[in-house]
Amino acid sequence: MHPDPHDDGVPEPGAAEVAVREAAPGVHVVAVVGDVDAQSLGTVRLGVERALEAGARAVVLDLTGVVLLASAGMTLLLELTDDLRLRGAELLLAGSGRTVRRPLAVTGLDRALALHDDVPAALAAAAPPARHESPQN
Amino acid sequence: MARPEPPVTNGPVTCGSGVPGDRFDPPEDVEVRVPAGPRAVITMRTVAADLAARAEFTLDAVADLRMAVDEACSSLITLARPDTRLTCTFNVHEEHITVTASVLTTGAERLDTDSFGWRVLTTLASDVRMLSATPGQDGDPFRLALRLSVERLGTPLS
Repeated sequence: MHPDPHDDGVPEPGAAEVAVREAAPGVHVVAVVGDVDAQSLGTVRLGVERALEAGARAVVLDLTGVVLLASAGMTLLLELTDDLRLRGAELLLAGSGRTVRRPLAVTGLDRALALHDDVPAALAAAAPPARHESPQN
Repeated sequence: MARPEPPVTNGPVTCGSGVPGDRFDPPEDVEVRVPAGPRAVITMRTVAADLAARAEFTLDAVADLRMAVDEACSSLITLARPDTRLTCTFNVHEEHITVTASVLTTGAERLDTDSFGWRVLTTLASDVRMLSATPGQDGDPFRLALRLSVERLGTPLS
């Protein structure tokens, strides 16, 4: 993710920016910066879609740079989690900041979503893309 | 910024800032009125967070209030009559902030209290109430309002 050359890197209020990168084969990180609210849903959804089109079987949604997670944004996280599961993929969330933890804790959604402290933790929890059965000992 | 419209509340609404030279005291009552579109939500939640921060509410409370105002205003503008405005009054008290958000509606619309958004709103804020004013004999329009409060320390986690 590159810093926004125009300002301090934080988008306008009510807007989000996403950056998609491949962290490992079949594992993409979609970093979201800004507000995840009713107005920016499409941007976030598009970022996840791009990761899937690029072959991601696991998507880590990096929420570290989220300024506001509104209820429309929380609904989106639930929808994406279900969408990806139906498509045989996996959504993992990364973010330990108050702006993400607080709304999910207050609503109890932290128990329904795969929320990890940071991207490395989420990557570690992501199922390996082509896992073979372990040989039996 | 605002001219009086038929009030939903009984109490007086004052507009403006605190005492000059006393800038660390937040104004007790603030009213903001903007066109009832998506930008209105951003304005209102920003004002709410700023007032709570200036009143030295906890960071959790600021976050809760911002989300509650976002939810309340987002819901209301979907019911607003075209070309009307969203009005918010913010009453800052020692231990809580009360926000009353309202729009003019075409008919006697109400918000869906079974929605996820409503659940979020009632979880984040206390004393959430939906208030409506119906046209009187002098032709006042329909008005739908949400009133909510957030405590200084924020909403306790269950």
